[in-house]
Amino acid sequence: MEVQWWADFLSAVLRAATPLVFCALGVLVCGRAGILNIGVEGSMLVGALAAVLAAVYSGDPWMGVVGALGVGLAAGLVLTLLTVYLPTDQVVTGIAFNLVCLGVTSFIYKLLVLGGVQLMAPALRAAQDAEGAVSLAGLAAAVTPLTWIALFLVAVSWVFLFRTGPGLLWRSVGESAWASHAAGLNVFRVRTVAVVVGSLLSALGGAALTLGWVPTFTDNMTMGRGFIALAAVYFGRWHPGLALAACLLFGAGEALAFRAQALGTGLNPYYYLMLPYVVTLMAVAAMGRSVEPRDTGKPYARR
Amino acid sequence: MQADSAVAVSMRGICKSFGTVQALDGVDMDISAGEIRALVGENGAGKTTLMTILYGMYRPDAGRMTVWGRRTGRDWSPRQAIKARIGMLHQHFSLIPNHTVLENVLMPQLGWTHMRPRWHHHRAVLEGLCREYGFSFPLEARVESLSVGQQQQVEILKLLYQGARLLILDEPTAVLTPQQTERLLELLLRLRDQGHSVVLITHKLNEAFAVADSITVLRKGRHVATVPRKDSDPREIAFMMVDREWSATPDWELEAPEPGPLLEVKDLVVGDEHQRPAVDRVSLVVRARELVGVAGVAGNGQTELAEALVGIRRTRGGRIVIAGQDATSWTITRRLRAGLRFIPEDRHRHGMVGELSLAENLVIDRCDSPPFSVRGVLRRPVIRQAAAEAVERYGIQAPSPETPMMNLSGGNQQRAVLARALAGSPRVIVAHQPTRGLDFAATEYVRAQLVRCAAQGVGVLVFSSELEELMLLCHRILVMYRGRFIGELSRDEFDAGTIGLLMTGQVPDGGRRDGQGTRNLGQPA
Repeated sequence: MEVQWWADFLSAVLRAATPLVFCALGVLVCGRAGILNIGVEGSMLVGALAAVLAAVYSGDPWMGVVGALGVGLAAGLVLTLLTVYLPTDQVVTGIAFNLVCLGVTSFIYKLLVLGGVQLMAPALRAAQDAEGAVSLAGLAAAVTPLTWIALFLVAVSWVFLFRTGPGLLWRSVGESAWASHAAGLNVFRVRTVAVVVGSLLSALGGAALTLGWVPTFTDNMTMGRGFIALAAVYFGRWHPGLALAACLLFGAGEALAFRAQALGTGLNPYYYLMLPYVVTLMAVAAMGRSVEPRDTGKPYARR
Repeated sequence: MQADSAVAVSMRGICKSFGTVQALDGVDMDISAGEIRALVGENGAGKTTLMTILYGMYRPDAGRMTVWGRRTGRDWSPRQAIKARIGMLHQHFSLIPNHTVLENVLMPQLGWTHMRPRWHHHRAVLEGLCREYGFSFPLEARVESLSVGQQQQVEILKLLYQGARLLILDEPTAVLTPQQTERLLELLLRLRDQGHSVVLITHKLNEAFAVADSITVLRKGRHVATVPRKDSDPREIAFMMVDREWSATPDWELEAPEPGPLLEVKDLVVGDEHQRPAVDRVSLVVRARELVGVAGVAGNGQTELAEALVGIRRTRGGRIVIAGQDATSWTITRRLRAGLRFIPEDRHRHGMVGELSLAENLVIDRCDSPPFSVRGVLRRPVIRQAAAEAVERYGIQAPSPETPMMNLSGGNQQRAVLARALAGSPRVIVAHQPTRGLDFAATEYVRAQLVRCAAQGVGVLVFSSELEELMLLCHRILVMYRGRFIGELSRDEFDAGTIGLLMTGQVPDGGRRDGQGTRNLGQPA
């Protein structure tokens, strides 16, 4: 039982962490250019719904991913207009955006249910079941391709941000928009790209939640995972590698919740469902003050 | 002027307004290649705005510019300015504190296609430049960890490395010691001799006259005159700046202080943001009728000491005694009631609430007690009355007491901060950079008020990075270096050279540098 239990557990951790990793990257990449992506939760939610719808109607889960990316692009452009060009307060705008997304997805979902649409999407399949995940190769085969894409993107964003010239410019915009402008950068263009990339990643997180895990959609199914990703970024000190570790930790909380529930200790199951959130809260509290890029959250206006 | 008189930059009819404030009103300016031009004027004269427009960060409302013979387009931006070899050293720097020197210097030249910058190549070239100009800082150091003087050198290195031929320096000497200032001015002359053009924005006329080839005066957003330095003198320029005669010599006499201490600080330790001791076992005494100055390069613990004295910052050790009572654990309010007043360094962030009215700002520290409020309800007429009196007494120019504080000019804001600090019955005033960024008139006024206060029996502790100010005002000057008092001079010993050396941590006569010797400094002999 021991080895098999761990194999099951680890693949469950990776499955639960994948959406978080995408969303955390969405927050991190965007925040490194100075825009606090509070809208991650909303983008994730619309991405999840779009993924399910596109997959259901096309019959191909990869079309679902494409659908999520399309919606993510649209969400990104809306957020860009609001937070970069107007510019409005990023926190307030983000919260409003999340509420709008919640309302819109909820509305569409109810229409679909009333219309009798079966929201069972073809899921992205792992190469093999968790039973075989007793070796590393087995574990690798037991998760969906989205997990691998997520891990790959962590590496890519780390290299980009900390090892390349454009990455330095990108971080400069997040540290001081004014100084970057003085150095000849077009702050608005960089931030536009950043917000769009952030929203695309968040929407991918939504797709990973539905297509890679529970291949259906329910009302408010992200349940604050976007915010958990946000916490992971702070906990991970705005560093892709550490943020990944934080996502795995929170994913473990979630996986543990299901395991513990299944064991049936007689405790009210809601206590277990609280687990990931409690883990998040405690981790962030233990972390103390984080070191976010200095200009993150501050609107920049040219005079 | 140098032999080369080709026009580098020509600006015509530049206008710019921020909201309802007309910052620039049809300004013309020409800058020749290879000259040092001083751009002088009072606060709010539009010096910085004009140069920020030239650098492409602000868009002018009207006017046209020619740079090296080419008209600038609507899309004139810092990027284009850098390409046209114009560089600007901003007053508060445009460095990214979290990044290294190398990253900061390289940043303006990196393109979005430079995936792998040739760090080693750049480092080698930069090390050569540093040697050439005598800059000493490791290129791998984070800018944050450098002193202000070094940060300025990083900025200059950045400008030179991006190939700037026209360097705009905005108030570069405000943060430097006299020696550093001298070095900077020498560097400017050297750059001029190498063919660079320099625009030196300043309100210190002695600096303008030390290096400039010609001087441009702005007043209230208009161009007053451009004169060759040889044909003018500081008095004439000062007159053009303020449109009235200006007396450089103060008309006050310092009175002898009373013997007993009013404010006494013993072995005070204050931590900075990272819990390192920013103020390290500092002791000082301020007596009634006494003005004590604290000199030092910014960032040597002055801010922490001032904030600890008024109770904004927590202390980690030592005692603060106000008029014989141990005030170490007192709240800010209690210290305020005991007569301790504060003129903060950063007026906009800590001295006022910009959105509130002038009247509200004037009573904000006392508005919760009679006569300004009764049982928690503000009494507007009383507040208005008090405000009107303060406006009258301190000569604050404002459309009405209801005007939002942020709409006042810097000088009037500081008058209001001063009026609030002096209201009631102050006993000790901690004035941190009380004249920073103020023009002649306001500076003189603030200084005179501090001296007047002291004459009435108040103890005044002045923190300033301007030596002249301290030498003018104070009975004694303490020099702060790395969180300690490294030297003390009484009025008959004042000497800018000695104090300047002390500010950089060098003790002229030797001996008193170690902890043993400094422990007793700050107390009257």
